[in-house]
Amino acid sequence: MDTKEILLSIRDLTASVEEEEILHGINLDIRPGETHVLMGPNGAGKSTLGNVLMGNPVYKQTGGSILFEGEEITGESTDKRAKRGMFLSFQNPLEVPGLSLDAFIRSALRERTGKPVKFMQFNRELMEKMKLLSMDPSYAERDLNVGFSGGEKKKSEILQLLMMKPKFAILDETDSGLDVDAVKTVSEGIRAFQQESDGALLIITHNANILKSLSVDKTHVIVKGKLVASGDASLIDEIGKNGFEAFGE
Amino acid sequence: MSEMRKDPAIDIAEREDKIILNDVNRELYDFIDEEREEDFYRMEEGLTEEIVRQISEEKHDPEWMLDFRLKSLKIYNQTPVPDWGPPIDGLDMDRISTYVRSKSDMVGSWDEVPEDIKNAFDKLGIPEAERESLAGVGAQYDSELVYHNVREDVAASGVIYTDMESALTGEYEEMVKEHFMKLVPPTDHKFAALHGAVWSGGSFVYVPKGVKVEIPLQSYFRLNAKGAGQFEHTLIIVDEGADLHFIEGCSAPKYNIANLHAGCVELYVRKNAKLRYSTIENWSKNMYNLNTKRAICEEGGIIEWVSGSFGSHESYLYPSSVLKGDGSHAEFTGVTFAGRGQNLDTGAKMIHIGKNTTSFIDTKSICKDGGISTYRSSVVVAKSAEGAKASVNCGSLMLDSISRSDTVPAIEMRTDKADVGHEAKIGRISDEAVFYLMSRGLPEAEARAMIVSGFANPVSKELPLEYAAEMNNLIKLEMEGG
Amino acid sequence: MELTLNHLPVLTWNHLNLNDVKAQVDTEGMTSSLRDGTDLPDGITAKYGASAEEVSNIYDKLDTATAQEAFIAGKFPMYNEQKFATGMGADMDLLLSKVGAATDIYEVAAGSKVEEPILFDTEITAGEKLAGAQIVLCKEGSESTWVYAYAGHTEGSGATVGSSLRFFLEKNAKVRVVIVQMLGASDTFLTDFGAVGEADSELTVTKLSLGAGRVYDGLSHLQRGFRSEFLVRNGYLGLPGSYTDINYNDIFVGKKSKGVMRFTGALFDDAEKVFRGTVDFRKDATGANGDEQEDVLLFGDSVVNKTIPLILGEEEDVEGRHAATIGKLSDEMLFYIRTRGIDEKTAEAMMVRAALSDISRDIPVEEIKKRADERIDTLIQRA
Repeated sequence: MDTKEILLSIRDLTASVEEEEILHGINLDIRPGETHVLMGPNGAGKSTLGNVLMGNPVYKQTGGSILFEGEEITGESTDKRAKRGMFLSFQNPLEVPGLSLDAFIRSALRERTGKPVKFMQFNRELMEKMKLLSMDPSYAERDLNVGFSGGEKKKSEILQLLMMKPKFAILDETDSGLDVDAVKTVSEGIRAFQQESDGALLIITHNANILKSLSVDKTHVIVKGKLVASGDASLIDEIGKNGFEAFGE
Repeated sequence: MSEMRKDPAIDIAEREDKIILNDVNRELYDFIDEEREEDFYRMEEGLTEEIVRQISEEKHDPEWMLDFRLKSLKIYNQTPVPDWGPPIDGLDMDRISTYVRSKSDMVGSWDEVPEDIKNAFDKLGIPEAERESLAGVGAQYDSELVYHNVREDVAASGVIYTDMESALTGEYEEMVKEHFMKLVPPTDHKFAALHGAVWSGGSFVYVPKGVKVEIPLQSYFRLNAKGAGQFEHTLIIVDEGADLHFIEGCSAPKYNIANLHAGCVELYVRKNAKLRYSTIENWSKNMYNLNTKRAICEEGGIIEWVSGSFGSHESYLYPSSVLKGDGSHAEFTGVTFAGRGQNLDTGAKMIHIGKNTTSFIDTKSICKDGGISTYRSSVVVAKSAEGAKASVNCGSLMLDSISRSDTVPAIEMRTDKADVGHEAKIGRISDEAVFYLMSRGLPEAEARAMIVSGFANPVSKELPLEYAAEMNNLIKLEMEGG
Repeated sequence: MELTLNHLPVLTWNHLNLNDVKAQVDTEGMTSSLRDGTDLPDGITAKYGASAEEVSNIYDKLDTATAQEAFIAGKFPMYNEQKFATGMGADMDLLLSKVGAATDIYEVAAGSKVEEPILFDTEITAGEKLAGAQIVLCKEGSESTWVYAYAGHTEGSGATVGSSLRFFLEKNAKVRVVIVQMLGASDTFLTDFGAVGEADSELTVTKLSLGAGRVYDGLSHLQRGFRSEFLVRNGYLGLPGSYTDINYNDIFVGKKSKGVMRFTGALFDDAEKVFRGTVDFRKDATGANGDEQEDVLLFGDSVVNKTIPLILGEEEDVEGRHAATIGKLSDEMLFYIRTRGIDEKTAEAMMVRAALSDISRDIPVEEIKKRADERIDTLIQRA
């Protein structure tokens, strides 16, 4: 296997939260453009993996390595990882009064590219993506996530994904707490990301609905901090039928 | 003392039953034992150099202690009465006797304690408590200790638990001299100076390196004499890696003239040592309680204060923790219940000096029947205290609209590399909660008492069982007192 | 002259130096008006230069002295010498009378809803010393908006501005007051405020402190009427070397009155700030609700931040809350911003700007709002 082709390579990753080890040796390879799904019961370590990959200081990587485009990123700050092209869609996005959604995305793009953002072009694209996500255009000027409903917050995360076009994005329970229509809209946004770019995805979920209209390359099952099974998209249906019990839950 | 110990769980359940079945008895604290004049030595009222010299002589002070007393008296005379806090005009030093003691000496066996004093402590359940669950007990009656005892196994581990006078005049003199009023100097405030001049009684505790005292030590203070002051000094040194839980209880019968308590507690917590200091204070409601308590923690040291303030006419009480060593930690958990005629000004002080020091304050204030309760605190984070974290959480519960509850918390930060969070709330018992309990068949008074107990629960759950029960009894008493 | 200002309503330990503040104010050559040729819209009338006696008569008529309370049960006397209390206290009135500052009295006619903001856009010249007082009588059911902006090329000149505002809100009166200070690092700004609100009145005060090196900021609001409402939003930038001293008292007397006070600021380098905030529930203020929050971000080795939030209660049927967060951005927030590729320093600047912009958007005069936003950007960059 040619390692150069691999976008993200995780080896023997262990991590802990407040002295308690949550991940006990994770191995995972993701290539450009691939969509991986990570499923598992509550408390299995799904979100922990997403946070550790992105360098959340609350989670401590205690061992193993994370290579992004062949370079070791263990210990690197979150914003540097983001600048490399990594992205995390939050389960509970934070609210920032006084900072509008569009200004936030503009600043983030400017930071990432190091160049000023072309105003007209940015606005056109923003409106396009918001339309795709059935977001009212007024949300662009509203304060970041302030007073947004659960569904609107998740749409705001996917909007940022579409605008920032990362090489690799982790979607942490993007479907949780959403009604059927919102799941569909968010899922369309993700599909647009798959089609428009060669960005890879790691979709963390315990619900197969969001995956219905998406092409999935690989599915992994995590139980008690270990990947216990990997397979293709058919694994999703199996879990849908039998739950996680078969995997030693 | 080698009787078989029961399974602790069964033991606790039985004791709880007993406590619940027992009717709350108001007489428990307010009984008065007439002191027969010929059995007691009593200093004349007032505060003069002559009186200070007499106390010093009575106590067989070394020379340096007499000097210290006289210096403190001078400071006392020069220091103004505080211009903040509850007014203390009702306190007239000319009418306070600063030294009263039984003419019999301190003993190490309960049977030898004079009958009348023994009766007083028996009513308070002191020897019983000792048998049940204490590593050592000291009992102070008025100005001096009348009883002191340490369990043999605890003494064998090198733990020293004795009265201050023995420590001062015996082999620990140097240790006392090195620490005595170094943490709370007489210049600290007027009543620290008063304490320095006329102190008597109190306990000296030393826990050697690495010794973990598994069960608590306890001192009980009873001020029985009318128009007297109690000025006990508690000095505790917990050496490196050692661990101790110390409990103090205070009570006094009620007289119609003022009594004064101006004790001083100095706690030295060495590297990686841990000390928990629990107090249930139930002074009678003619008492001016102007007490000073302070702890200093070296690297990795832990001080935990658990404090229940129920009694006294007026209190000024703010246990302080000086977090000098890196990574040291302080917690203060307190409840104050101010009823009729009470003005209780209580809280805590935290001083962060070392790096990565942490402190938590969690207090509950309750007031009723015209009582005034003030929560007062300060959290100071020095420039050197990088990585410090502090949090303050104080709740006030008002039970009627003739009472008063104030919250006066100060925070001072001198570094940007620290975080402080603060939250304060004031409110009353929710009618809904009362209704809910009543709908389950509880009478209203009981429902309210239950809610108040629940409010104070963060403190009671930190106390040993019999003290938690005592505290709940006190809450019940206060609730019925209307 | 030396003024003792911003008294804490209940005293605490003297060594904390929080009970009040001593301010040296150079009154030499201080002039006495802040009037700025404002054209008054319909519904508002003015009487300029009222004498001390006239002012005192107005206070008597309005019975504003009910805010005074000689004793708090069992406590030392509360500080209160004024007939119409302000946050800074009597010494501010003394300063005004010493420099001969007359009081301008405005009246908003009953029932008139004045949509256009009344703007006092004061250009301060280098080294100028200016003081002025206003009383605004808002008659029953009236609505009005008052905007005060202070700016000028005063950098390094040591200008001083003193402003005393008193608002009396009759039943159902609605008032918005916006004060924007954009002075220089060597300037002193004294901004004093007093208000009394009758039943169903609504008062909103928005204040931005953007630049002056010494800021004394006081406010007292007596919510006297049933169901009166009060909202404060106060934002400040404590620049290197600056001193900011704040004292706000929200006094609840009227039943079901409601007050919310929000303070947001950032301190840089060796900036010092003292914040006193009091929620004071007086007897019989049943159903009152007071809520106060302070959030301070600290950036600098030598910052000094003092906070003392008081809750005073002599009525049980109330709800009071105070919370403060002091220090750094929360790890969670910082992580969120950083996942978008923004480094810590930029994230911090972004958050300070966001917090202040959130307040500046309350400025109802577009031109002033624009200047405030530019000022915020300039100062954050400089800091």
